Amino acid sequence: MDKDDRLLETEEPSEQNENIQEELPKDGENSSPGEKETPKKKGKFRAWWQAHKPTRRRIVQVYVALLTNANIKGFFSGKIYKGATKYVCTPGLNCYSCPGAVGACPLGSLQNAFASSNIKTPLFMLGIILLYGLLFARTVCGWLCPVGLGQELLYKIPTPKVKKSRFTRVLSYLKYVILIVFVVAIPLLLAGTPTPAFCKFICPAGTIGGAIPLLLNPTNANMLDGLGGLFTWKFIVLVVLAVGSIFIFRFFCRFFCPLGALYGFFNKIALLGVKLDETKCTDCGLCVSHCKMDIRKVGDHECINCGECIDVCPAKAISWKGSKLFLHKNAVEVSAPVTEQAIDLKEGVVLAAAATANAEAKNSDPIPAISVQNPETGTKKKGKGKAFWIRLAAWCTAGAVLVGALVYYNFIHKESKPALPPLQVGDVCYDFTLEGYNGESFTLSQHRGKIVVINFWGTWCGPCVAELPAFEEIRSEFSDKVELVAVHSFNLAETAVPFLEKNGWTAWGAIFLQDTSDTSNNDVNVLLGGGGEAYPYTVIVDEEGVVAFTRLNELGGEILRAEIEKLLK
Amino acid sequence: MKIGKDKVRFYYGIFLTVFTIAVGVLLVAETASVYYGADVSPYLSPSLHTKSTVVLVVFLVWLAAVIGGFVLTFFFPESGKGKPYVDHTYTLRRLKARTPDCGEEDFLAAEARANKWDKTRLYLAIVAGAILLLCAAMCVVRLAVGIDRSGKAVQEVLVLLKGMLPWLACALVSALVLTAVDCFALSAALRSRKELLVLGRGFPVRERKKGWYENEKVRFWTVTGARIAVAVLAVSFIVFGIVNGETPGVLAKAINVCLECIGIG
Ligand code: SF4
Ligand code: SF4
Ligand code: SF4
Repeated sequence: MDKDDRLLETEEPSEQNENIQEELPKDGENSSPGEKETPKKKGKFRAWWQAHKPTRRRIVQVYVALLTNANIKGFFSGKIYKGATKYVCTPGLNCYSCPGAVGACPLGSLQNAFASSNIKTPLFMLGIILLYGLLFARTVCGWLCPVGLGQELLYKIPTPKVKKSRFTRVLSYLKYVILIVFVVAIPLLLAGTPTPAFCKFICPAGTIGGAIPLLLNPTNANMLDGLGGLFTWKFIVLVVLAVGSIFIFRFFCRFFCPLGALYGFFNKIALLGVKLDETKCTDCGLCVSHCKMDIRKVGDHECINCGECIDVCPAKAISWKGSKLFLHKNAVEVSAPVTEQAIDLKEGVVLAAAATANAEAKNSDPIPAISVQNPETGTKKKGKGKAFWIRLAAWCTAGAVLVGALVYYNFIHKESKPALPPLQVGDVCYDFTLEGYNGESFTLSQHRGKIVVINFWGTWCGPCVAELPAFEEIRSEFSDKVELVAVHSFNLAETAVPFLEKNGWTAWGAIFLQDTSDTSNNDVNVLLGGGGEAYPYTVIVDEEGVVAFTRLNELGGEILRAEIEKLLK
Repeated sequence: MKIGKDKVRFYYGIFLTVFTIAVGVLLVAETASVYYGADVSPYLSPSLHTKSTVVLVVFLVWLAAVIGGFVLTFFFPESGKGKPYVDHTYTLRRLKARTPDCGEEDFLAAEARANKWDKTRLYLAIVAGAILLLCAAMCVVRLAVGIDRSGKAVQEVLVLLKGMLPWLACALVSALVLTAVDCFALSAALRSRKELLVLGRGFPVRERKKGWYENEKVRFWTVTGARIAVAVLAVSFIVFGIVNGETPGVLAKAINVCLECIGIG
């Protein structure tokens, strides 16, 4: 046996060598290991199930996507969930404007925190990101993010695929540029006018999860007014990313996602994820070849900790972090030759040979035959040991949590609903009284004879903050005939008052009020036809107290002036 | 049966590719019409524009370079469903580095072929890079000379974009053409590379020098120290944030929809 033969030695050396001779010329012809080794003919269904059953990772992905979007009724009502769990950020990219979402999006919240950093420090959100980074890092991407799941499903469509290369590797740094420019720089630079630039210009999760479900619901027909250049752009971005994901594995994650970029910084120190035992690693590169992400090394900033390379490593050098505690350690067993796992026999043999050579040369104790467990042919002991019961308990608990969440959000949690039907143009406006920021109150009926412009706004809302100064200018121009009432959505004292003081808006003639309720619907907003959640919303009430004009979306000074002039004529 | 399925996959793949290209062309046309149509929302304030223009331009130049790099990728058909995804180029490159010189003629010939194709690919990459740089430079020139300073800020941005679009399109087309050629060169290079590996005899391991940072103890304490530091930072940031009243801001944003943020208006 010369050296070459020894290198190629596997469990069945002679047969293997024969195979090499026969199969070398036929490039690309593959025989699946499953087909080769079917000692017993299983039932058709069983075979189908074996070939198609979801992996544990896929189950976790679907589970988390359902759990973080448990407010299914929102998709039918066209309203987002407004309960207290929205204080908590989900780990993955999950738009908080999605009707199903029951938590806040970490990236949106971070941009919002930067955008309001001239009023409040953004430390809370930075702390949350650090915490998720420390616990999970990019395990979030591989296991917990709905956007990652969506892209993996799209990639399953059978087409030619664009594979990774040194160019995609270079391209993967684009997400850091997006992180710096769109998530950090623009919101910080433009802190006066809240501009979450990533949400606004790029985020496909906002378009597919937020904008489209809201727009499709007939209750939100007034949102259609606002469609224009921005929506066209975002829709194009969404389509490009979705189509790209069919051809390129995790197109958005690898090149564009700033959240993945952020979590990447923590991959080395995270408590969960894969780890590489470098004393065992023979540097054969099989793991890097197998991985679809642009990694240089297992566990680096591009690794999403999917764990798919664990079974590929012939030296058993890759395992889960903390595997002794709660996950299985590298479970590679000697069962099927590595060549069967390789996509192309010729390459497979060469690679296996190389791996053996390197492993033997590097480790003093010889490695057993280089082989990995074949998921289809590998023999697993079946028994109801301790692990079985732990697993069963885990699955049951997880199931109970999901069912509990679905029942709670869809049947138990109720948004408060106003008793009166919402107003439309031409109706006499309901009278209301609201508290102002400095204790004074405002009653609509006391301002009959004047045009009252009621603007619903929020300090976190870019267009709201941008258009209010123009409104105030118009108000002061027509001060004897027009009253401007700016109704803040939520928590006037804590969020809006520091903003008003900082920007000198307290000197304005406009009256700043807070809507009646906090976490449930903003009642006056709902009564006046605003739907209670979308901002900005402007209502013009004429001298007689009749609703003369409404607009959901930014209005701008020019239109307001025109409307007021029309009414004054 | 099996062939039938493969055929379906094959034609479906072709259909989808053609469809995607058609959709891409439509989208580019649409984007161009948005830019050229000057249909920009009046909300965009001048200050926002002057500030973001600089950022936008840098980003566009990046994007041009990036699109070029991206299309210059290896393009191989997937060999079949259920097969693991394997791109051996990385491994092959590493193995090649370890393959000792050997006197066999075939081996040398294969190596020469592989090197030739590698060189071709390198030249292609240089040409692509040069074209992209030229396009980027033209974008910058356009930016420097082409701004109509009398107009409104919104108009300035539109003028800029109009000036850049042809150059971006040029970059895209040239990168596409180069990619097609590169794909051919790559498959030729890979074929030779595989041949080389099969012909090679043995793969001796190169001893690697270990850096100080690879010392087990140093590593352990670095990671543990980093973990403790991050944990302390995270907890103190969160506690400070809660005390400082930052949480209502998170909730306020999460329970209200800013129409602009989700891209509606
Ligand atoms: S990279 Fe972003 S979108 Fe992709 S899985 Fe990670 S967090 Fe989700
Ligand atoms: S497959 Fe295993 S032995 Fe080979 S480089 Fe990766 S970790 Fe190291
Ligand atoms: S290196 Fe392994 S765990 Fe990380 S992304 Fe690649 S296959 Fe998944």
